[in-house]
Amino acid sequence: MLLQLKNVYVSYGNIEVLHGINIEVKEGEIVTIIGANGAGKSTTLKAITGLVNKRKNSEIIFNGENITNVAAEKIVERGISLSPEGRKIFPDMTVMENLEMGAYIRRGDKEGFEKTMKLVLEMFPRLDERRKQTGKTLSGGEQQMLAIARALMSRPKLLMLDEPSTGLAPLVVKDIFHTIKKVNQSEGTTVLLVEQNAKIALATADRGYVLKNGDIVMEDKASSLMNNPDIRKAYLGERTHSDD
Amino acid sequence: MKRLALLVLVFALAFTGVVSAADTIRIGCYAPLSGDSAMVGKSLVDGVQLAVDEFNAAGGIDGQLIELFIEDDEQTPKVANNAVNKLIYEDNVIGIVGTVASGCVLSSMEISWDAEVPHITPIASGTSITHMGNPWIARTQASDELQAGAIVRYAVNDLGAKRIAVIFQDGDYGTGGAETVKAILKDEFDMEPVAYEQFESSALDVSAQVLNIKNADPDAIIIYTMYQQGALVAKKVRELGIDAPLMGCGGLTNAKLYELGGDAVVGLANTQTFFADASKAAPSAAEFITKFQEKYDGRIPDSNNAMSYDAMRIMIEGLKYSWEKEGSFVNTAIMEGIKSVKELPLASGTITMDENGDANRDILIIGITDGGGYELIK
Amino acid sequence: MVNFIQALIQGVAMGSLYGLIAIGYVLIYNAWGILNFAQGDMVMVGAFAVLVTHMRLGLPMWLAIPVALLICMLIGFLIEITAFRPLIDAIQQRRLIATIGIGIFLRNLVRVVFGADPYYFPPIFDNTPYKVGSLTIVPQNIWNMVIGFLLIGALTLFLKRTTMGKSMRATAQDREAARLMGINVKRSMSLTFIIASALGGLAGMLICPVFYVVPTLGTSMGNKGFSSALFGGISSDGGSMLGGIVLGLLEAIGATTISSAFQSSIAYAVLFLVLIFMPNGIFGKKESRKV
Repeated sequence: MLLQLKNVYVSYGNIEVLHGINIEVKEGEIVTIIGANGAGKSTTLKAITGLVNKRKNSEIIFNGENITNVAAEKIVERGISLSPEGRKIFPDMTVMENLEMGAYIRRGDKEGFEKTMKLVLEMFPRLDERRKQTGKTLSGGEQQMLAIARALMSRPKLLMLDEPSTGLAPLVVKDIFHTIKKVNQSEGTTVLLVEQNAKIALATADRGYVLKNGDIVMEDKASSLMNNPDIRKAYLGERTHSDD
Repeated sequence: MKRLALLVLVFALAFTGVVSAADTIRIGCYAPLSGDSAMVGKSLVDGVQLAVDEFNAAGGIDGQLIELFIEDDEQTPKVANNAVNKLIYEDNVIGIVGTVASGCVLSSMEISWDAEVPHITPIASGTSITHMGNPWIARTQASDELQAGAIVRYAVNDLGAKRIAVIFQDGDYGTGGAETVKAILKDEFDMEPVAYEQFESSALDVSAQVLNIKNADPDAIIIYTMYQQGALVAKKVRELGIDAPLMGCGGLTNAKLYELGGDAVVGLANTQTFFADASKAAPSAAEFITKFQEKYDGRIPDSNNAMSYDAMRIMIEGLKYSWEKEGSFVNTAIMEGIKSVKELPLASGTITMDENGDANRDILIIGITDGGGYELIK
Repeated sequence: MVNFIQALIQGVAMGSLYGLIAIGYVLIYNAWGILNFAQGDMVMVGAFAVLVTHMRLGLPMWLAIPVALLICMLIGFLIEITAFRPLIDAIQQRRLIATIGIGIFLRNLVRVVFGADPYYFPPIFDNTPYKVGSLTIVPQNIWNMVIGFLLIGALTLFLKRTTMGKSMRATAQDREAARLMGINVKRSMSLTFIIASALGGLAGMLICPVFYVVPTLGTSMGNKGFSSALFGGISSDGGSMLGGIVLGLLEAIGATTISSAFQSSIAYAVLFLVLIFMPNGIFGKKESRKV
């Protein structure tokens, strides 16, 4: 087991947004968490990276180590990398500089850096063309690619992606998910994917969790979830007669 | 402060031994004794104290000695008001000497005015103090009007200047002084300044103003500022190659002027009421210098010491006048006595009080010498 | 004409001092997202620090300046951990008031210790003016300008070429993303603050031989530096030097051609117009706010 969330509670002020959730990710898997807006998906990823505080008794185990209370800036050293919601690339830095920041924890290792850079740019040829451009001049799709590429620069064991499809054209979304699959297959990188676009998320993932109002309400193989009528109705936009 | 007043009292008793506290003449004194102007405040108190000691040692008025009550005004109008209130209503003084800043005097004299207590300010120079219709105020400092007149006459009559430039800092002191200079130039000599340049008191760079002066090609430059700004102006004037002589008023008198301005201020002339050179001074001034040095371990008195000493001396004149006329100390008689002082030789010159309470006297012109010393010009 | 050129020279000389001060405002604004109103007082702290090391302790100038810089860095660090870091998530107004408060505290502390009177400070470089025709040029002013541009150059190199500099920029642009990269955001922000404090202090050290050392130095010069930063574009490191020179020129030309009584008013009126029509400053980049 690569990642285990046991009984994770998160509150913002007095409002509890995660009510003790349990999630497991095995090495080499692509796991997705789907759910409506505000279900707590992003909070789950933030809880793992240490950007939000967990209530005590919450436990997060990664690679056999308890990382529940590890500070956010130390998480990437443990092998977890997050491509955050809203991309959060550095707008006034060039593509190259953004990638360099992605490899910040490996700043002593020039050779390794060059190698990873080459690999990542091969995966995202569009970024290679835009090396010297600043982040803010890129298109939405390119910015998303840069966010993922930057996350890969630390050579993580677990790549976490928060809503990579938001605001992108369907063709671009397809392209990006294709690359995610490629990263998983060729590099063996484990992926934890949070998505509102359940259709493409489930099509890409091996397993899925359904998060509703801060609780995991369902967990199954992605293909099974895809065929579950409740899921289809609630998250895949399929309508039944009674809805009319 | 109470303790200090008590000490003064004990000191007075120790020296006389025969007078009971009931026979004392209660006089109040207030000055900035803490904060940035504490040094000036101390000068004031030292000068006043010397006059009181001298008076008491000579037996006072028919054995009645002065008891001095001292308060700190922190150079803040509000605190000055409190000080005067306390002096009048708690210490029951019948006369007050103080303070340094014109703003503090203007604010706190409302209280002595209201209580009809004779009040002499030794150091504040703001013209308006004696022009507000307050019959209970008088001062020993030469008003800005007197000083400005003296420096303008020096420039025109003694130096033969025909093209006078004026540079001044904004605020009461600079603007008020510069306007007075302008008016006297017009009234007495029918002249206009060739340049009339203002800058902010907080400004450090005065190059634009000095450039305008350079453009006007003056043959004398009157600087109406305090010494800090005066140093900046003088430095810039010489830096930009203007050779015209520099002059100004009492605000420029400070050892810091030379420290900050260096060679640029050598030769700068300014008005003064007192010059601490016993060999050149008038007999009354020389006597003061000797007495002051005896009392304060050889320290050389400055003009603030002298004017504060004189303020107390004029207060004593008022007291004597009242005692002779009324057989007691009556506020109206004391004030009448103060204002009837005529050609009295004192530390800071021979003084005649006018109906407004201003001290008319000759103004000295002093100049800065190489190395930062002063010489008496006239 | 000669006088006009002389006015230009004075304007550029003052402007480069303004520019030097502006850099500190820009650095902290970019890293902390806030205008540090105490930055002007760091200029004053720098002037007093070198006054102490050179005039009081008698260190030679080449040693007095670095020691004074260390003092500025230490004071900057103390300000950061007491008034900036604890309020990092507070509302903007509170943070602004904290910076104003720190400025007042510094001014009064120095006033209590050193008094309100100004102090003389000897020239670091040759201060004797020399004449070119009927024009006057003061070497210290030229040095100030050269040092200003050199500092901007060095700072730009540091921010663009070194990993540490880049991590500081990353922190400035997106604090949360920087943490995700493994950047120690606290340290990076402290470093920015310390560098800005040192730059402010250095500006003060270069200014004090031209004028004098006084506790209110930061108020007058700080306002000019802050305005220069706005002129140059608060988000642009390189613009501050040029912004300062523009402000210096405006003051000099306004005062010599219109009226010296309105010296500052003229400059500020132009600043208002710039802020209305070019909100990002004359040399500023388009504001990039993340979605």
